[in-house]
Amino acid sequence: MSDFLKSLDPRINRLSIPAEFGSSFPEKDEKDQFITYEVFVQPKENKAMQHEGIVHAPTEEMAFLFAKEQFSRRGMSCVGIWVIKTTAIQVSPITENGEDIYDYINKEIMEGAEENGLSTYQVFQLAKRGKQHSLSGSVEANSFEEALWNAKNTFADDKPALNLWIVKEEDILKIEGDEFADIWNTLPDKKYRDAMDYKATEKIKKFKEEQQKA
Amino acid sequence: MTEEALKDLLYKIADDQLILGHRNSEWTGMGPLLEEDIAFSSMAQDKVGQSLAFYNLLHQLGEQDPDTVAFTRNAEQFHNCQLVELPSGEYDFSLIRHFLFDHAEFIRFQMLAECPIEEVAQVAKKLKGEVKYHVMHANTWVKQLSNANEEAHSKMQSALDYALPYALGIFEPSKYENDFIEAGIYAGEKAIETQWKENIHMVLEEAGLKLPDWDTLKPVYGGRYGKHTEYLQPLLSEMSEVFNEDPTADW
Amino acid sequence: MYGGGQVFEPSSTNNELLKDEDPKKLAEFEARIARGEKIEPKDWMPKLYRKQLIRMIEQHAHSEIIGSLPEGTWITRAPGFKRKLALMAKVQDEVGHAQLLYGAAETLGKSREQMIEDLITGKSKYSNIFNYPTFTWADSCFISWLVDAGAIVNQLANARGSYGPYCRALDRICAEESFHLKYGHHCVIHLATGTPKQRQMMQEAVNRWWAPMMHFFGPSDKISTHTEILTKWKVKMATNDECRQQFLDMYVPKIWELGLTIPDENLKKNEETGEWEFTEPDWEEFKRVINGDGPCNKERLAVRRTAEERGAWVRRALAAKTKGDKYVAPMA
Ligand SMILES: [Fe+2]
Ligand SMILES: [Fe+2]
Ligand SMILES: [Fe+2]
Repeated sequence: MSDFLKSLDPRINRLSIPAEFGSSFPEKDEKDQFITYEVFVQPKENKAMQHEGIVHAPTEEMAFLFAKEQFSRRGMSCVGIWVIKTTAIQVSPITENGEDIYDYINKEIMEGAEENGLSTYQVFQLAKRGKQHSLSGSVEANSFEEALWNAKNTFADDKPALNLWIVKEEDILKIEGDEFADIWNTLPDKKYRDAMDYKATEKIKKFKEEQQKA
Repeated sequence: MTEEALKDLLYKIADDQLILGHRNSEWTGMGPLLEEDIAFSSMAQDKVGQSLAFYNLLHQLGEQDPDTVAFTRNAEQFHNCQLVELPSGEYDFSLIRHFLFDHAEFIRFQMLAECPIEEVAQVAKKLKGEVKYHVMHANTWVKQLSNANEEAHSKMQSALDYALPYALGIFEPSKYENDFIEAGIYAGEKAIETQWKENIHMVLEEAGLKLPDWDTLKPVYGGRYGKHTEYLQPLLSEMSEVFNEDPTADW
Repeated sequence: MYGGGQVFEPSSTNNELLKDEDPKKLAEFEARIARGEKIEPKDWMPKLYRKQLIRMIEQHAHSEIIGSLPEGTWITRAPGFKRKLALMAKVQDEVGHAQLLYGAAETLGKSREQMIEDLITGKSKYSNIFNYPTFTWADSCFISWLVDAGAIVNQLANARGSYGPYCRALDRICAEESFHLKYGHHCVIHLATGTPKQRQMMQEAVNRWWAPMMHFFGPSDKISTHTEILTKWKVKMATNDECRQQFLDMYVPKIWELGLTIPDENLKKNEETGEWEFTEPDWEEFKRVINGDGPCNKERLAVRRTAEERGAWVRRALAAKTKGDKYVAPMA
């Protein structure tokens, strides 16, 4: 009799896990919970950068390493990834479908705003509940509030925006451009990850024909 | 340069990648944190995919098809360095091995991208980008962990000390070194090794890890000539367990 | 992947939670759902909605991460390059699904680490089917094709639900599931139409997995607790019986066309009602396994805990790098 858990999985047998373990498990270290980064991916040159989800990571470099494989390992191409600490993003209220958040933004919001000098802010918009935020572009401003006002003057149009995310340029880690283009260049070769690569109708047809003959 | 020499080169590259990819895939579903589980699995897939690309080149040169070559040879027919066949161990070792190996591979691919044999150059050029991400990943992890706390630092240092002699085995000279250099295929193992030492030195210094005096290390050679540790044959038997239930079957 | 049979709270606590909700806000909330609009994290929502969604998404996430183990059993032994690469990618996807789903549940206010702790301490459940072993390569093929097919039936239904972040995660997941389904089917076709030995291997896997597969969708709605309010709120989108019927309708013919038999002599489609008839699954066994007494419950949790323990030093070290930054929930 061995004292180790016997598994059908050879990987697990190599770990020599005790066959019996107590029912108590030490509570997880609270610090195990890394902070949250929002991940944005641009799949193609002529498509907008879009929010894809989050990763938990200790630093933004690691957030990028994680984001690349979790959010850009599929598809035919990828031209860039941005990662942004969730706490660095300023969020507007959210409206009902069909309502435009810009209609609620007026000049007064800039009163009493904390001015930090002129910088670039990136603006993401949500077009419909249930969809993802996508990048509209950038504005120059002295504060988040001014950025909001400038965003209205720059991006408001007849298509309503329900919700805005605004981020200071310096808070974004951008992995994109010529320097990084080649890290995605084998994506089209990863056919084994694609449903298209598993056609077998011919095999079934042949099998059925043989069955009928027999 | 003879075809035999070229095959020798392609085999050692492909075998390294297959065995390391296989080893690293053992972490899939059991990684230290979810996101890293995913990233490390992608890189394991990249490695196996890279080996397939090189076995395909060999197939074009008249060798058997990739499945037969990968799943039916015995340990002594494999030309991988011993570094890649060692058990995965804990994450410190798996990471250090990935760091040491991929730095070497990146240099190798950079050189082979300029190779006069068009087919080889094309494959190397393409795969270089993948390996660039692997190196970014490895550098970041090695730096982050080694600088983090005492516990991680000492684990990473021990893993490095253990792995280095095996890592030098990557550069075990082949019988054909001079042929490769003369034909301009690539600059040879010595050249890769020199560049590699420089590259890893920079990162390890930032990581606060110590490199020993190279002269005190005895490289673990033999892998390139079919001499392996006790770990390779069981790995291969496991890998081909299903395949060999019926090698003629279509799985 | 995921099955039905979610563990919802008994209805007495439900009423308790609903009692003190603001009727005006509740009416607006319900009107938005009735209009077919999604609820987003910052919107007002009833406590009960939040609680049941966390429970459901969390269980789904656990099922993905635990679900990576039975197929992972064959990851080092997949026959040939094509299968080796595909299985690695497939198991990786399941881990990725867990990551996406934990993220969706986090938007409701429970941290990922708290959820993982509840998994490894046995406080929180995962899909029962993963408590069964994969004896052969063919078992892993059965899972890739048919367990994933069952999961897809469920996930496609849930993707039409009311909570935005969960729907977005499911959209991504369903896109990847189409690869799993095709890959799994491809594997099964090759075994079923292959050598006599391969064929036998596949038939034995079907025999082993049929009962767990029928359990997968959960007990019949006739005997499970009422979930009317969750249906109204578009948390529960299809009944267990509807999912099971849909699965049988789509996949039984595909299994039969490969000359495989299904170990239930009562299984047939009633042409009049259009419903599939089958031997009632053994729900006592289902309960026994879900409560911890299945062939692999112990192993699955032990492996998950071991992975946590082996990774602890890594997470400790990295956490030392975060410089006092505070965790916040994802935004969408
Ligand atoms: Fe699944
Ligand atoms: Fe899944
Ligand atoms: Fe799946």
